[in-house]
Amino acid sequence: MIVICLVCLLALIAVLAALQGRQAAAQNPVLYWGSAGDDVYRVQQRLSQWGYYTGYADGVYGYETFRAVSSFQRSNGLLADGVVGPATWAALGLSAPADVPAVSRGAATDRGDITLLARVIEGEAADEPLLGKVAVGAVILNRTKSASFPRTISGVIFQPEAFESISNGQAYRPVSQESLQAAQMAMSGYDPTGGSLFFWNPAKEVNPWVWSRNVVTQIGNHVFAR
Amino acid sequence: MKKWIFAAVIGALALAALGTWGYGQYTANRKLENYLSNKYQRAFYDLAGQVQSLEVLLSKSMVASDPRLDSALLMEIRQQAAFAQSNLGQLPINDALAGRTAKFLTQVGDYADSLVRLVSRGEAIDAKHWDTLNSLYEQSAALNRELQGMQESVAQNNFYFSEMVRQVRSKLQKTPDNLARTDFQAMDKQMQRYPALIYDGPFSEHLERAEPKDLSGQGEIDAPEAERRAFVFIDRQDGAGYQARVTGEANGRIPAHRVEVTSDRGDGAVTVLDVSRQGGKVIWMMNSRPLGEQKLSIEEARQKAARFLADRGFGEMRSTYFLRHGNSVTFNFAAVQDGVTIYPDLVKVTVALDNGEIIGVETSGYLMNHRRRDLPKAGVTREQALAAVNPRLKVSGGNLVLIPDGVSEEKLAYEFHGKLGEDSYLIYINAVNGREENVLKLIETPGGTLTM
Repeated sequence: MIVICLVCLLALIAVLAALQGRQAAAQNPVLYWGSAGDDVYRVQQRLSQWGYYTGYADGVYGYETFRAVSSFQRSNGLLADGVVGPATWAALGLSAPADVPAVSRGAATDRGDITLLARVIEGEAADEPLLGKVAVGAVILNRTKSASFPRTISGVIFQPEAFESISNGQAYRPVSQESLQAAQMAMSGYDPTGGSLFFWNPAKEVNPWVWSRNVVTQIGNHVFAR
Repeated sequence: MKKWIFAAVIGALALAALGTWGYGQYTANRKLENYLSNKYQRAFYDLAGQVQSLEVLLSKSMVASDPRLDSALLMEIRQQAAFAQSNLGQLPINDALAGRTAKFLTQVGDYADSLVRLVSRGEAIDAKHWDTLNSLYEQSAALNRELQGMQESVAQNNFYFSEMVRQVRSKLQKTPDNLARTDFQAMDKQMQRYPALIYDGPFSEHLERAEPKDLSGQGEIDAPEAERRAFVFIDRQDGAGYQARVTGEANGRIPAHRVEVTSDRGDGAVTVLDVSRQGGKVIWMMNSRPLGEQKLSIEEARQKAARFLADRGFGEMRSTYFLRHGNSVTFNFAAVQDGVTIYPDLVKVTVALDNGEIIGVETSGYLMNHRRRDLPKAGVTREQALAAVNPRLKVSGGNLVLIPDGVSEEKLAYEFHGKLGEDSYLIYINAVNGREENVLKLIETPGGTLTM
């Protein structure tokens, strides 16, 4: 009987913790035994630098990583549970996303626009090749030049319901180098879409009205239209 | 006995915790819904107010006779239209519902802007402009009527914007069938009744229909020819074999064949190009191979880019500025005719800094504008033009250039570099009448110099 109650309680705590964790996923994901990926690799590298982790940095969170993380947390006055949450990320000094573009010396600059563009590109076209990413960036810039859309890049990006990755927070993941490069190329004027204003994935559900536009081309998984 | 009570207590606590948390989430949700609905309301009411101002201002501008007053009215129209468009962009209605309305607002502001320039040059508003203003006035009156009608609905129906918020949350992509969206759609349909506006401004209709000047009069090419042209164009490296293949058509502003070129070098990179159907010229090229560490200097890369363009028949080009990103650098080149740098004929070349390979080219500016021009004669000398520059600047340079003015006009100008303290500027003095045309600020960033 007690066991059942305790299991229910633990399940409840786990659900709440997972929900809390999901909010932070947009910035730095919560890592625990069994996680894998780039983020685990970064943690292992950092812990390795500081002497907590003696194993091979392979991006898989196993027993060695657990011991290293717990040891680090103990030494830093954090709850030593082996789970890398926001506090542990901060203590590791890895809170910011890995790719932050250099800040210009001048006061007026378009760095903010490039980062914003890169974010949307990452959110919309993370799985597309470089050409597909540049194409998404070009669509956003074409919209700023079109009379039917807002005039600024941020106006176009934050127009309600315009980009799904902005609406659901996916755009706030760490930005990859390829997305940054694509944003810079799009700002330089590269336009593989021939002036397109719309793009969508034909395999996903989309407003049928959009098919009445003049289709220009398809790049990767996206169809582009004017 | 005790065990049973213990279990019940734990269970009750767990349920209570869950309940509290659930309720907290619910109230937070309602708060956010309210907050969002209020934002939409503000945007809507501001939009209605600004469109009403627009109608009044347009009618005034048609009857005012003093050009100074006209100027002031037109500038006010431009400002109101810009705010109205910004507020429209904040409402959760997509291009299907309000695209034509947004277009009208942009064009009204833009048209007013072009008239202000006209007036400030000393020209008068003639009958043709008056007719256009009249048509815009009628459109704004229709839009105003629709919005006033909607304001009534909003006043009577408390849940107007909450409905919108719910729509946004559920993200249904079905055809709009509720009150709010139908109203906006009706408003947009009103706007579609009016003919397209054609004038000389960046948002004018005729920009969409511009013909590429560099391709005029040339014949169409077929797919095999496009493959051949692509093969000849790319920056072929020694010792590699290339295969070009047409993979589709692009029906963009300049219709083109899309060609993919693969090499047998094994780095898996594919170069994609668009070759125009008319005239068979490359519109853009992109090679997305991974880049290694920098081994070339910017100057060496610039020379490679210049030689690449010369070998492909672009004629005399002058490199204007560059922007570096990561391990590649993009140079801007402008065509030169009779010693005058022609800025609208722009080509961009991206060079990889690991081996100097040309990995990107963008020529749409060149294709749209390049032609043999009848350049006007310079009416003022360089010294006279220098006199027109602000005396506070330390000035150098003074080459003749052709700069774009508005959408289809071009002006011959002297280009001076001016320095004031730490800041650098580019000053353009009209070479025909000696007036200052434009001032650009040069902004140094780690990647290169930007002009604003």
